[in-house]
Amino acid sequence: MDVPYSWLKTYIDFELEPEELAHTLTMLGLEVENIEFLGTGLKKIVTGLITEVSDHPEADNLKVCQVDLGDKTEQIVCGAPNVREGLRVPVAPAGSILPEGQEVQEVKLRGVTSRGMICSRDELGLQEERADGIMELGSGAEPGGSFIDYAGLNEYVFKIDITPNYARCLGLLGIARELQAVLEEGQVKYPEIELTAQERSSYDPLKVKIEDPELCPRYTARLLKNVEIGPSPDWMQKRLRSAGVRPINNIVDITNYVLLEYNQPLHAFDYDKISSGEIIVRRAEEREKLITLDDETRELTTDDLVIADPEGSIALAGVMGGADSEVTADTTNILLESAAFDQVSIRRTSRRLGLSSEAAYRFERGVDIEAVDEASRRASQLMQEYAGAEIHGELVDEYPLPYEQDGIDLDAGRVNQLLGLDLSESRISGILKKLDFEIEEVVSDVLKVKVPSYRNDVQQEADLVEEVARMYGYNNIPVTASPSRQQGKKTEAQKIREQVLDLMLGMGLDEIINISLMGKEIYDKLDIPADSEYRDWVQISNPLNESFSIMRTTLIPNMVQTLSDNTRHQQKELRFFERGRVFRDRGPEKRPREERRLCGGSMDYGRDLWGNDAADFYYLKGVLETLFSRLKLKTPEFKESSRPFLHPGRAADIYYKGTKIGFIGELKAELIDEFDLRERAAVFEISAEIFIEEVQPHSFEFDTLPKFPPVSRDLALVVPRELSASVILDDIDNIGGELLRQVNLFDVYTGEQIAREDKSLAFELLFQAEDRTLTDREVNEIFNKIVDYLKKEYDVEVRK
Amino acid sequence: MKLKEKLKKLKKEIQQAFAGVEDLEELEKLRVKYLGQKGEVQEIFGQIGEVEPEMRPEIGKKTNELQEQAAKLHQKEKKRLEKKEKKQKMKKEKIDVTLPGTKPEMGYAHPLTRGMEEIKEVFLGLGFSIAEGPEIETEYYNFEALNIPENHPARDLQDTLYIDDKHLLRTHTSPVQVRTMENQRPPIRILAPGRVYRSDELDASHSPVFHQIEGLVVAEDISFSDLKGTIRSFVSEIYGEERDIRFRPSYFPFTEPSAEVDVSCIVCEGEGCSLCSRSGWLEVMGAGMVHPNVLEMSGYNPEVFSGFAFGMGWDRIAMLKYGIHDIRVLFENDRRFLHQF
Repeated sequence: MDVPYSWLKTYIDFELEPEELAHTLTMLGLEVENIEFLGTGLKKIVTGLITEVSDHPEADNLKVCQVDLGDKTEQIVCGAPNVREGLRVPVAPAGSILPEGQEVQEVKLRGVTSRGMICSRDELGLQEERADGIMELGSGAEPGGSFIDYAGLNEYVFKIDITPNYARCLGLLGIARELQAVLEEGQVKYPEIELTAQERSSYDPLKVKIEDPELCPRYTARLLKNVEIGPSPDWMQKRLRSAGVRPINNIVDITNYVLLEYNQPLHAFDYDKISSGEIIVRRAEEREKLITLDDETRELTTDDLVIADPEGSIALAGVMGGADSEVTADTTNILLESAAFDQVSIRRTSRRLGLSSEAAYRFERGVDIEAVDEASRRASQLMQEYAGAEIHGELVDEYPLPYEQDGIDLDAGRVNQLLGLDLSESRISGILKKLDFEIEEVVSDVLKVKVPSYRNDVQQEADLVEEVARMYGYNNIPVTASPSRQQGKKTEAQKIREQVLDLMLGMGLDEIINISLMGKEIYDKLDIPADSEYRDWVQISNPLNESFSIMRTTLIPNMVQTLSDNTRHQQKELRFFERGRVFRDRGPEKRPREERRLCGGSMDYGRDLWGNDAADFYYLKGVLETLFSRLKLKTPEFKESSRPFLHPGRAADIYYKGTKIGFIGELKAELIDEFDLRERAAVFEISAEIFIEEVQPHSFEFDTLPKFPPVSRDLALVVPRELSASVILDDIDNIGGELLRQVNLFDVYTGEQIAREDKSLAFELLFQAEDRTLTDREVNEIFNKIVDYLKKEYDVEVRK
Repeated sequence: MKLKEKLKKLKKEIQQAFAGVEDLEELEKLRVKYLGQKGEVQEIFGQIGEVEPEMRPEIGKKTNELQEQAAKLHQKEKKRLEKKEKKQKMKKEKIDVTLPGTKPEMGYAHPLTRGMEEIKEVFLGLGFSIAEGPEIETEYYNFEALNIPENHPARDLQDTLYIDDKHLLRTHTSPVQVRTMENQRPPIRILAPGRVYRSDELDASHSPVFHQIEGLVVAEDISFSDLKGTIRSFVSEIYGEERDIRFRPSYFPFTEPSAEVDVSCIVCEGEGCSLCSRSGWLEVMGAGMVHPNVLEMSGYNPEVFSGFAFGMGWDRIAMLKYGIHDIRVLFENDRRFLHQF
């Protein structure tokens, strides 16, 4: 909300400078986000009267003006088409600087001295587009006067963030009341209202009937006749403008003005368009139609409250007036509505119709039901004074559900316990009284507190505790040492997750974090088929745009994109991982499944271990193997498989204890182009839940170090190319038995000396016993057993 | 020549020979010549049988002495020459110590992770445990149980992304408060970090996805002073001892009283600069005493238990800490950015 400093000052006296006021308001809970001085850069601009205009001797399109600036008259050359004698204008004297930074100097224009500049609106920064001529001021502009004073720009405007519990401060009087509670000086100065009413004739009926008091607990109507629609007074327009409201005409401006004073939305109907002067407040009929002020036809439901006359609805209660009963230039008689409506009902209607208004905004936050009549009186007075309105008859005030307050019990001990204070009951009473709360009685330190009608935010004891804290000052409340001396704990799962993080970082991968909302497009780009489970997306029902319309089902698209983006920035040797959740739809009304995943990506890895141009694949595989090994898990198994986005010959599913937990593979060749990757790249994704389920943090026992030396034997085999290395490794391991400590595959060779359909595998076998040094004989025996088995099982040949 | 004289002569010869030697190869030649299997010392041993028997012990002894001396001499020269050779070798091996070092491959943690770990440690030290919850929540946990009923204007404070009528993407980490209270008995001291979602376009200062850290303490006799104490400790650890803290009234539906916590600006120290919009203060978190309605809905008697809660945007903290002006940078994963942390 925009709060003009000087306007606020008319309701309460204070000595605070704008900066101090901003601080005071902020510390009251009315956060001032910024202060704007409307006349920024215009302080030196004065108002002048052009007393004489003559032609420039050397230029046809320039005039030489004598401008009365009060204490002196200056000669100023001006080229504006509308310059003429008797005109009052804003003048930038020589030596001043315009808002855009242009310095005005004494100059000679084609030989004629000019000491200043007569300004247009755009030169003063008051409008964006170029003006046709200089700005013309009204008769109130005295020669030599300050332009910002004249134009109402000598004003500081506070942008205040009003939270829902401060609804009362959506009116300036509400803010003044808050200040009254903390300032030594000053009482709130409520407007003095005097009305002169005349008898209402029986030809001017005025009746109000509330059919649903729950939705409209109070409704007032007043008849004002013979209004003259015209502009509102200058001072009112200035104040409205400074508060960010555009002046329209006197009637509309007065309702807006009172809205900003009292936080009470008002509505003026054209009385002559209301059938038999009868207002009926009722629920709309199902599918009832109403054309609102914005000329939209609204279809209503029985949840909506309307203002109607006997012939039909004329306004959407508390949200927006109807077009048919709108005040126009031809209006002479007005029915002024001031009412209170149910907050929830207004909010529902306004939300459902997507129709927000200043009125709805305030009604859904609650207005002061007891001040409904006061606001009406205030507006009537202003209309009487500035629109020539005649007040006919008394206020018609239907108030079926009057404001009632049981009072709230406030235990002084409780206040002190919750705030860490030691306030006496009388100190607490004093604080609350400053805020207009009444203390009805005090029984053994329990205060019975009556809440003023404008404080609908105060409903229970805790709300009063906040009021005491606020007035006492949050910053005056003592600071106590944290009451726990106990060290906090991480769960096992959290520790394991941190371990995974540390291991991944330690292995040289950079952590990335992506937004888990995404668009569908990238799934198409990755060639993920229509029936893929990757497309079991959780869809956002109200997405802001297509690119954030679904929750990711896999971390792979972000990973590929990250590789691509970094390639674009000429980054090399990319190694990334992400830990993140993926989401799967489980059918309507069911909570989608969330699963933690670990994803990796690598490009340009430098060491092509097996000489088969698959460095990244084996790097990531090694990362996984190391990760599992360091977490003391069994080595996962890798089995050839396929994925729509992976290289058909370079992809594997990953199994742990027989369960598929993820996959690894190189991106297929098409994607390397599609994503502008420079090189081959590999990725993996596995479920991170497996770590939480499988890692046994406390069950580790160390193996005694061997006392006897190992015996090493190399074994080189020529095997069919199609045969997986893991098959041979597993067999060697099995046959080798206990004495075979380790088998390492250290070379794979294809090429010369080996048949085309074959490959050579070289293993190092390490034999070791716990209780003795093994003899050659023992070792040879096992070694030969292994060789014999492999020869028998597969078509292998042992290379010597 | 008599063997005795021969011995004398040999002794002299050996001394001279070993003294003049300048490299190990030559020294080895001399060793073979004098001390080898067929060396000159051995030769003398072989000739001892030829002298008179009464002279034999003496000559034998002297030959032994010679052998020992020669061996010692050889050892000494060997050590000297080896040392010399090493020196020469090292002289040739001089390197340019200003060439760059071999870099071990270590990954970089994302700055959000790094900041989070730091904050977690602070709160673990203050006795908090870490709690978690789902990112897709129900209306109940995200709103109702937090004292934000349907059709309450407080729902406007957060633009929500919905999945269906019941499910939504949590707009804050506060649902973890409720879930924890439902499953645990007091005393409770938890810290709930996590990812949250809002219906915001991605621009320099907004993101539809960001991260929050929520804290909750519930026990008997917890007061606003305790809240201030905890926040004071946190601010000192994360922003430095010298920071001023300011609490000002604010509004959160699930706390009452509610406060906004500001710390004196880390750039201008309160003087006013562009980072703090000239106010001298930076807003770092929201906090307050847990609303009795929230306690009650989670099955706690607000007459017996009280508590405080606080929450902060952790992306914003990271941005403040590292001077990042555009939140999008955090999610672009540019390696040049990641490698700065």
